Amino acid sequence: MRKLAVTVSLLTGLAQVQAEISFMHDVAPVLLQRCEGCHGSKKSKGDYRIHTFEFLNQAVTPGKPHESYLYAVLVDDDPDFRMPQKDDSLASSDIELVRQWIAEGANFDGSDRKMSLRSQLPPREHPQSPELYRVPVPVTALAFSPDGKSLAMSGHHEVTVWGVKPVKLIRRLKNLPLRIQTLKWHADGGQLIVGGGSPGEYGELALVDALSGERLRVYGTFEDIVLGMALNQAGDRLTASSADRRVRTYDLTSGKRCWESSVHSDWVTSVAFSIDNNFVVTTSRDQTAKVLDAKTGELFTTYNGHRQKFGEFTGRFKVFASVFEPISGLVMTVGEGKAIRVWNPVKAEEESGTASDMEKRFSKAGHTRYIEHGMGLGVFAMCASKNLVYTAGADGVAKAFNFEDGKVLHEFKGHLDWIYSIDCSPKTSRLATGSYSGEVRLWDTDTGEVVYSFIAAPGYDVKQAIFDN
Amino acid sequence: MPHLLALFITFSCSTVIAKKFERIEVFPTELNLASKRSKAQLVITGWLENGEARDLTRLAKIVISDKKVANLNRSIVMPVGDGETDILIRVDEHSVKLPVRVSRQSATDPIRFTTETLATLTKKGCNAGSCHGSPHGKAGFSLSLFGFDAAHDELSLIRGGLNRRINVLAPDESLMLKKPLLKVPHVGGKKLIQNGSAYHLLRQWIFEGARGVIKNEPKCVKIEVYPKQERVLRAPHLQQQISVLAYFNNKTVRDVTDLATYQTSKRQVATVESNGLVLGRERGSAAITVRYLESLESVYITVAPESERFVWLPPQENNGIDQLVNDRLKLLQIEPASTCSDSVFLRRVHLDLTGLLPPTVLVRAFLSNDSSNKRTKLINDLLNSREFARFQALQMADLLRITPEVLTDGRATFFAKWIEDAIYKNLPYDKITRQILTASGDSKVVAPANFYASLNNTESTVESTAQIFMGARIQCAKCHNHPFENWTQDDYYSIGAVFNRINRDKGMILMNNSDEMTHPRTGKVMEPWGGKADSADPRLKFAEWLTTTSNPWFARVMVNRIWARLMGRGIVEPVDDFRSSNPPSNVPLLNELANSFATNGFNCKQVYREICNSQVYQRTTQASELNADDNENFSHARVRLLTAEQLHDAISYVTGSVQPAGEMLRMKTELENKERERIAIVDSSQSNWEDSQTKRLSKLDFHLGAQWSLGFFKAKDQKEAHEKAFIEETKFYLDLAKQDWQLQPDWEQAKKVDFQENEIGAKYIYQKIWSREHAKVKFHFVADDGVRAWLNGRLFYDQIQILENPNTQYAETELSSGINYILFKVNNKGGAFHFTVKIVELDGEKPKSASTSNLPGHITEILAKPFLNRSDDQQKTLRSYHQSLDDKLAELRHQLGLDVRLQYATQRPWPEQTDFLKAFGQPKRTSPCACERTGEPTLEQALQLLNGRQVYDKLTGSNKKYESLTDHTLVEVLFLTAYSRYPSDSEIGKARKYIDHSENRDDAIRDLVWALINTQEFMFQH
Repeated sequence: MRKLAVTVSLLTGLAQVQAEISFMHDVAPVLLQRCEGCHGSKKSKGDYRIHTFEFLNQAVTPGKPHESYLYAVLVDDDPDFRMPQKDDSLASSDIELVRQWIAEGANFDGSDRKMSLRSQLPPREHPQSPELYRVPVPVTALAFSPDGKSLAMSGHHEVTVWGVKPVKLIRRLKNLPLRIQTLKWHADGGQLIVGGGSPGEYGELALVDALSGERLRVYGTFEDIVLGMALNQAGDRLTASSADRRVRTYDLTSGKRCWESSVHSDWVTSVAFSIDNNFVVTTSRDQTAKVLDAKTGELFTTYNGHRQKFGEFTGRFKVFASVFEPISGLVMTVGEGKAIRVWNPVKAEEESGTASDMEKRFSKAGHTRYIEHGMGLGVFAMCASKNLVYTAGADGVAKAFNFEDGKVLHEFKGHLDWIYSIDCSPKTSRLATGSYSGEVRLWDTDTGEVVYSFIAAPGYDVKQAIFDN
Repeated sequence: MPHLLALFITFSCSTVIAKKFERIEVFPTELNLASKRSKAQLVITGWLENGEARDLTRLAKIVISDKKVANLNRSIVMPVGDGETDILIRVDEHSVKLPVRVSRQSATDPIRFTTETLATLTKKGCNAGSCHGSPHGKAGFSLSLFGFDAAHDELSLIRGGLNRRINVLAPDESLMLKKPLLKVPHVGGKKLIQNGSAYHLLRQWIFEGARGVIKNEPKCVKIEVYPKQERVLRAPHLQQQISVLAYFNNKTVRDVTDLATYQTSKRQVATVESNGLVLGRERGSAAITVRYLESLESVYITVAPESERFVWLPPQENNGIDQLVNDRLKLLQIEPASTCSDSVFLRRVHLDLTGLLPPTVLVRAFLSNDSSNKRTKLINDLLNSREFARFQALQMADLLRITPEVLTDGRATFFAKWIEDAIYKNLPYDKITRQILTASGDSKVVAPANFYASLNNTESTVESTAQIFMGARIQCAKCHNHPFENWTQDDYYSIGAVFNRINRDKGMILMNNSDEMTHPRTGKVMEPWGGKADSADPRLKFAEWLTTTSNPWFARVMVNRIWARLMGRGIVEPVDDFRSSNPPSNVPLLNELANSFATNGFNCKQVYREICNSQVYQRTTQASELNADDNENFSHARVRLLTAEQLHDAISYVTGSVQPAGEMLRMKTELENKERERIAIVDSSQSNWEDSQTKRLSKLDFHLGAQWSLGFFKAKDQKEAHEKAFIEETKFYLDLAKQDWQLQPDWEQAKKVDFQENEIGAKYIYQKIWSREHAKVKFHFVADDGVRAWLNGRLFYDQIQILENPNTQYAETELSSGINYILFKVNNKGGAFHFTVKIVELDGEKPKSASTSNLPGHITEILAKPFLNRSDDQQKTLRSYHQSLDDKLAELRHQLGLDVRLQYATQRPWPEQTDFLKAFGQPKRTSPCACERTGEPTLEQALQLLNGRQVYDKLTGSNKKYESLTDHTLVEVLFLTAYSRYPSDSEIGKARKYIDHSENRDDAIRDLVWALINTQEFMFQH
């Protein structure tokens, strides 16, 4: 009899292995979505949190759902005690998943019990993009191919690739994250690195086949949307930044994560590799730029030039974009305010000090050089080529500055809405800008004239924009 | 059986709502649904014979004639298709027909950003002060408080934040929906439900392109809320539906009942659902504040118990106040308390009006007086006393923040005395207020100017004025529109424009010629509240507006303050927080008091008199079962802890450490008699003195008249200041009345004419000089910038910039015999600076000191006139100046000023802060808020009373007051003094027994006094 029982349990055990619930795939997404608002890193009602497995597990008795508080509160009869409080209960199928997972021993199949669960979630499967666009979407990212002949840009759950001469839609790389915030061509135009996600909940950095649109690799997921991305000069390292305040660097070929840094206190809006590959510069809504050691991710110094009380261009400004000037090796950072800051990471470290001598330091003129851009609500995007720097921002104007003397070379006027993205192709003397209204404009960088303008939304017809349900 | 049951239900329903209705009424009276999204909340009211209204919205039968035109969702009408139809509303035999017009159902009508999207966010609490409406937002997302700054919100929601919050192509993917739906973790919790109207509106707004403010977007100019009049919810009918209509500047009207927000002032009385349905709870009154965008209205709700069980026994009524209070009590079924005893009344009214315990002699006399009008007579006597004026002045001084630390050089006493006199003379309150608000000049000379002298900037002046005279706490509106009231930022800065020109220069209150108030957000120059000024002084119009009889706040705030002083609670409470969301507990009462106050010439004493004579004021503190829970309808008197100053004085009086009030009066009369005698003596030598002075003046080489100054006149630079004539400079007889000349103390004292740091411009100084004969004269003056000088209209000195030693400047000219007119113009090129001038030589000789008059210029000027040409006022001035020279009189007056003030805290304008007074809530006078005086019981109070230093010191000598009395009289006097009543036999017995058994009679007396002080009967006013 005893022998038989063992056999039976072995058998059922085997049977269950087949249908075993994966915590990371099945349970964590549900709990994170429904419980983390009140029981997470920011708020911990009832002193209980679920944002890491270690915390979540405190209310779980493996094998015994009914003795597990986590399960009991999901099915409590009293509406005042049943979780989520003042909200609909979990779907019965989801509750069953939780029950079954606990019954099966509450196993953890993530990588780190102490790390935030959200950042360990497996990459999401993304839905199809619409065949025809009812309305355009803001163009938040665009990139010229290395040969300058095509232009990739952000769409809704997709990247669209357009021929430049003549302008026409060539390809749609579908089933990508909801929003694409940053794009880079790779492997001589054979692949695209795509950063994006869903605001407030999900970020993704992926390598995509530029022809088939297949996701070749997902480097990592984030807890909020990916905003910035950069490749080092050698082309073997990839760094990305997210609104979840993290910056991560990956080995481009192996996909291995080299380091992670979370030294900013707000969204990290952009990243840039220094020309000598020693540093990664990051910018943030927290009004600072940071210089990280490109090999270890350790903080080298903080640049405070975007929040100063003394000297030129005083004020407190969010920083949105960064780029290294190729010849001088100086970094340019920009955001709100009226000027691009041009600075040297090493000198920035030398000029930094303790809080006590801050006023004294700030009152002295630092080494920072300012290029006044005169754009009202700030600059969101920037690109550089040779000795020129191009900016684009909220007043709908893009500008080309001579890096040396800060003089305006061209003003690219024509957009009627905020410009979010910009890229230039020195080979073909073209500049591309993308705006909130979904309009993309191609400009001739030699003359400053517009070459072509179009709405980058497949199937969209301006006369038939559908706003009625 | 089912039939029977149905019948029964019908029957019982009809007993609830039937037969008593005289008529039914529906709001609105016509419907015009001109958009697909229009809807209309109906409110159906049945009027009973007794004038009460009942909400029948959910009981009436509502039928729409043509369902192709409109449809019904409970009591909300929704459009279906273009056309016209009727809605028939039936309640029993009554019916009303409501015409409905539906149009534009096929036209597009995109969601409007301000009036719909932002209103929805407000309704859901997203932009509340504790959430994204806080100054820096929450979690990186910031909205303006209650949506008052649409441009900011548009940026934040749509393009700002890297466009992360909305997704037009896939609205359901918008973070601004996913967060409040809790599809993405949201620290603020669940704010939207998937099927709610708010969710649909926001989603539709995004779907339509998430458009911000468009040109010519209709603005809401006002809202209309139904019901407008106070509604009584009588159990068991405890529901009231509210309907809100918004009027837009394009002449359209929309029902915004589901977009407006509702807030109750008293949760235990009434609560309100988000659809505007009010639910009555307990007996009492509450205001439901209805807010839509910047418009705010209140619906007043009174919850009354069922009518059957209560029997109203009409109480005694002394005057109109009683009637209005009793009307309210009858409605709420609260029993009025009976009239208090003479002892209680005497102690109460004496403390309320004078701050003092009634003197023992007065208690005896009052208790043995049989006359029927003795209470009225006592009230009149007290109102006419100095003590009344002083005690009321103390309370006013609290609000006006009179402290000697701020108002230095005796100005605090000066200002307080002025108020006391005004109250004593019963100066009309509007006049007092106007004098305070329009005061200009040296605060050492012009007493009411100290109001401005004690406030150091425009903001505190705006806030103090609003709180003291308008009962409005508008501090919030400095940075954003007031969240609970109609006060907007515009209002704040428009009141600011009234006071922005005030120039406070070391206690000198002057009006600048410009200094406009600009709105900090819009940068617009604000027009002063009360209307554009006719003169350079916008305060005149403001004061005029404030003190008209029709002003909605002025009279109400003051009568409410008086009511609160006498009753322990305002009709509006807190007394300086008038807003529609904080309603009066008895509207007709406050209206009536305010009306009669305004129409009787703002006579304050009359208000005190009316209230004190009412039976309501004279009610006992004894509560019955039927009124114990009443806290705001004045059914019974409130037991009140004596205020800090009252308690201090009461203890002082009972322990004999101050002269009794009667004694004080005697001493005062004595002093006043002496003063009168002395005045007679001084006056008798008046004409001799005048003659001798006139003679002396005529012998002098020269003498000087009063010095006047005019300006400051702003100039763009020093050159202009020097060369431009701001007045007719060569006119050597300058008409003082025409210009705003300020009298300055005298030349002989080398009075400085000051300039401030940034004052670039000029000032004038003008004076008359009498010279006995034609003479050369040499002036010495101190100045570091430019000076021009004219004698009799002829320019004799002109230096734009004094470069050499500024202390050794001289100018020479010739005086003609008789009156000379000298005019100086001083310019300043920047930097603080002052100017003084003096005559140093006459005909090349130093004037002998004996040759100067030593009299103030204005006295000299009067003396220089022939006797018959002097006006009565001038005679009076001379006489009082002459009196002021007499030392003996000065000493007497000093004593008279001191008499009671040193001993009684309630009789002093600014009692110094002692531990004892502070423990009992004495205010520090740092804010205009009545709440600065606290009445909370604390442990420290008990400690102060039991063994505090002050009480101990006073007790030590307390035996002296009573030791000469026999045991029986002693106990009687003690009780009469402390409680204003005779002791009972058992109290006498106990006290005497204690004295008998003590070894030391003095100790026993001290113990008895100590015991009396530490009783509730003593510490409280009953």
